[in-house]
Amino acid sequence: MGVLHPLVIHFPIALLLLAFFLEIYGLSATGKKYKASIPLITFLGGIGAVFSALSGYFLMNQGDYEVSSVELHRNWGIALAIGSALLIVLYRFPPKIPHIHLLGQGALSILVLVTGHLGGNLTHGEDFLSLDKPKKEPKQIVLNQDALVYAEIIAPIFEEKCVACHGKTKQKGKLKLDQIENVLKGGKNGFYHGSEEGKMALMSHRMRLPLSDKQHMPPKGKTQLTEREIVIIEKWLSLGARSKLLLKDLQLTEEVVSASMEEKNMPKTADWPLVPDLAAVSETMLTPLRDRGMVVLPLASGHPLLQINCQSLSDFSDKDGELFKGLEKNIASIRLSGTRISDKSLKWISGLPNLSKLYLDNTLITDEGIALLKNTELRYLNLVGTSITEKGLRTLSSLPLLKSVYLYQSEVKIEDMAEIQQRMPKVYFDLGGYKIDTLTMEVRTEEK
Amino acid sequence: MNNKRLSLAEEAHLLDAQLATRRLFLKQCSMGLGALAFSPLINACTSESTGSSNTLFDPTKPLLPKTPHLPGKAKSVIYLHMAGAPSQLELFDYKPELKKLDGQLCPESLLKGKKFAFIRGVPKMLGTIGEFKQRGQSGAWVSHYMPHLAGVADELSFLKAVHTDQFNHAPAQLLMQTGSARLGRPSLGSWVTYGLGSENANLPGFVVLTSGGQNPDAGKSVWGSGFLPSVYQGVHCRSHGEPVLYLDNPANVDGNMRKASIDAINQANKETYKEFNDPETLSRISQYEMAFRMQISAPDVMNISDEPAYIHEMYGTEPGKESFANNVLLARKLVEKGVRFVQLFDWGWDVHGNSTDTSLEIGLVNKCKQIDKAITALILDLKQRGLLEETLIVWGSEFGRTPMQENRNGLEMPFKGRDHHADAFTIWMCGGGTKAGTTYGETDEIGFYPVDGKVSVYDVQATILHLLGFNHETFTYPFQGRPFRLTDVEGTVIKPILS
Ligand code: HEC
Repeated sequence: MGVLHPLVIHFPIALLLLAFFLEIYGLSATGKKYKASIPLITFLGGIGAVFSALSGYFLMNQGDYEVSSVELHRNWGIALAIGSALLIVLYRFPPKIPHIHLLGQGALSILVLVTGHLGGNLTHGEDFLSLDKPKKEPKQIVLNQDALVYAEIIAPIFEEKCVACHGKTKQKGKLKLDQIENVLKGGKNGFYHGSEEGKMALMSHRMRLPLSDKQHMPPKGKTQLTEREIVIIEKWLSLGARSKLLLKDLQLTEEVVSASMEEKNMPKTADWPLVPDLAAVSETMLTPLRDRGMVVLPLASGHPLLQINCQSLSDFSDKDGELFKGLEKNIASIRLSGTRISDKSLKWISGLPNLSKLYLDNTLITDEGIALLKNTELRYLNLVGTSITEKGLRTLSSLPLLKSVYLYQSEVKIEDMAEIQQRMPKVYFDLGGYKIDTLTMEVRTEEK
Repeated sequence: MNNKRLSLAEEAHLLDAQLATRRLFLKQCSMGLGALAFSPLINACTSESTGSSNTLFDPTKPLLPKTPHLPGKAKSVIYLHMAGAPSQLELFDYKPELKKLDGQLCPESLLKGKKFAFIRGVPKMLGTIGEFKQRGQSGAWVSHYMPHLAGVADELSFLKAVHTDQFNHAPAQLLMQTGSARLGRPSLGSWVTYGLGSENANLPGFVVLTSGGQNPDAGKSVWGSGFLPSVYQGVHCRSHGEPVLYLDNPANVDGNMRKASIDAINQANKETYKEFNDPETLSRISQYEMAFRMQISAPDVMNISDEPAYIHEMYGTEPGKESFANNVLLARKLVEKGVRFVQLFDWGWDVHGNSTDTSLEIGLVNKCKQIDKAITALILDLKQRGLLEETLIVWGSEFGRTPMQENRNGLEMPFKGRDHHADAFTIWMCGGGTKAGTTYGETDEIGFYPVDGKVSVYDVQATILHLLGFNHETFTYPFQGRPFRLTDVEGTVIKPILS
């Protein structure tokens, strides 16, 4: 019966408001003809109101809602049911008071609106009508190892993903997750689950159930916990769920910590350097670059590292290096493909501490310029269409993080590659010049 | 002839007429009581009420380059869609058991409760006619239909158990490309351009190239912008003739005159914007400006004939023709120049077996010949240029083919062919942050149902967005009062194929 409540209530809302509207419309000449239908509409609406009140009463007694928070809604609802019954009587035995029906319908409409709004607050949350809702920023894990696990990490997760159903207004399964004491109390089945030796927190059990399981928490369709969140909550529960536990007490693996890095918009792989203390540069500092025609973008929104593309600027030359003053630490990738830079530019480029990706394809750089890069943290180096030879390549062997070097149409010869590959076993060198043989059915890819 | 291009006066008249009717419409609405109920609805449709804070859309610079939520591995996508649906059972999904069942009647249990597009009654099983081998170090199965691609199998990540819920071409193509089997949603490419803008101010962010003689069955909606601002729709370019229709100056009009007329039109549009505040007007202004810049940049980029001979040999291209290979080479050039999303559609893969062209023995061989070498060349060419790491290639179709031979109208077919199959088919991805040399997902012994690693169309879309740096769950656009996303309420990123 209780489950019908959210369905049934829509009938009295629509019907009683319609009746009020027709009463007003009935004041005009054109609206007169509808007046005859008003008693019937009111009657149906009234029945709806009574049913709503009844079903609401059952829903309340199911115990998912705290009585104190429902009280107001309940009282208005009862008043509405009684009021509509009275009005039906007034239509049946109309007293000789002018506009009594109109006034009655008006009062009833106010009851409908208030009751409806209070009910809405219960299901959708207090602030569901306010337009400028505080934007819900995705909760970010504090990396600080001295963070209090419950207060700083878990409470925000509960707040975001559980409290809507397990909080002050609703307590599904008689469980409240708004305060640590309530978490420890557990719900109608207590805190623990399972036999004495295989004992675990019921919560851990329900979080780990497959999504398709009816008992899985949070229920299917709601925002789910991430694997990292589950691991942290589990660990915390298994250590006694004490409020004083610090993040370092959980002794989480590297993986979990780095996964939390990902949430802070930091890549977990080593594609880019980790720069937790680096601040983003202000937009005004980037204006000169953009005015020069470069495409300047952070790696991700809010990320302090920048990727810069000068590819389309055929007049970009060595002296443009000036423009990057003050941004040295923030540049992670720079594409100079096809620009007019020469070895001179590699001086300022080699002074970029976080530079990871460098595109020098189709430029005039030579082995001498490349030698300047030996102290950088480069991961990717594009030397396609340059006059680099194996001499220049050798100077790259001191780069600790280098992963791939592209050498298509450069002066590097295939004969020299065996030795270079031996020097730098972890680096992928691509000399390109692939040919695809059409005659045989099997493809053969040859290097030049 | 007349209706090919509207004269300025005609166009102005049209616009005026549109505005007039809109005004009239609103007047009528506001006179009736309907206006009461209707006006919030109307508001919800314009971006006035829905816009601002949480859209990425700046109407004055709709294609400004933007950054995604996370550092994405892929910066651009080349999506190769084989319209019509090639047979995964001939190309990638090797089923030796099915070969043994060849010619036997299909067991009733498989047919119970199933609907097919053409199969009627009880069809016969059809053994694969592909000669399969495990390729490279990864041991991926690729048949003799794709001899060139087989050589680069170690670069690919296969999804062998993709499923969809549509078994007709048009709705299935829409689902694949727009996330909904019904019309009206923005295409994947539109979402991506909406989220990333364009790195090259002189080229559109989303280019569509078609081959095979026909557009895909679902029509241009598969690259439409749906409810997103129209600047984000795919620009359909051609690999022969004028690259973009109506881009060149009409006879007797020179560049200056063209510029002057565009300035005049834009001035008029600015006035219109001041009056009505419709952001589409601003998009329109920027589209005119872009078209003008493209007059200079497009002929150069769109022209593949200045590529060296060995590149043509590698791709198997013949400049001047409409071909898939030409489009593939063009796609590489566009991506090199900063275009975010290049969508290729190749028509003619609907291998029912009712004619030579649709037969597994002849038609499919010919189709594969048209794409096999070109795609292999694309992979290797991007690789040697150092661009494969940041370019995601997706190969796939709207669904797969049945393990049963088609028996259209209950009759025996003249050739070997298979019917549409929605429950399991193969897609592969390459580069752009995917893990090279992986195979994820498995179908049962006859390739009918997924048994492991089943993924949905939404999962594929979520993965593509993820590789570009988007969280598909928070990448939304507000429309009609609620935020919409490409994957609606579905989709999980397919982690096993990420590098
Ligand atoms: C959409 C509402 C909803 C959300 C959100 C939700 N739950 Fe529940 N939860 C329920 C309902 C309904 C029940 C009771 C029915 C049942 O036992 O399945 C329940 C029961 C439980 C129980 C069992 C209580 C008991 O003693 O039987 C636990 C534990 C639990 N939830 C934990 C959580 C956690 C942890 C979260 C957040 C990560 C969460 N729930 C989020 C609806 C929700």
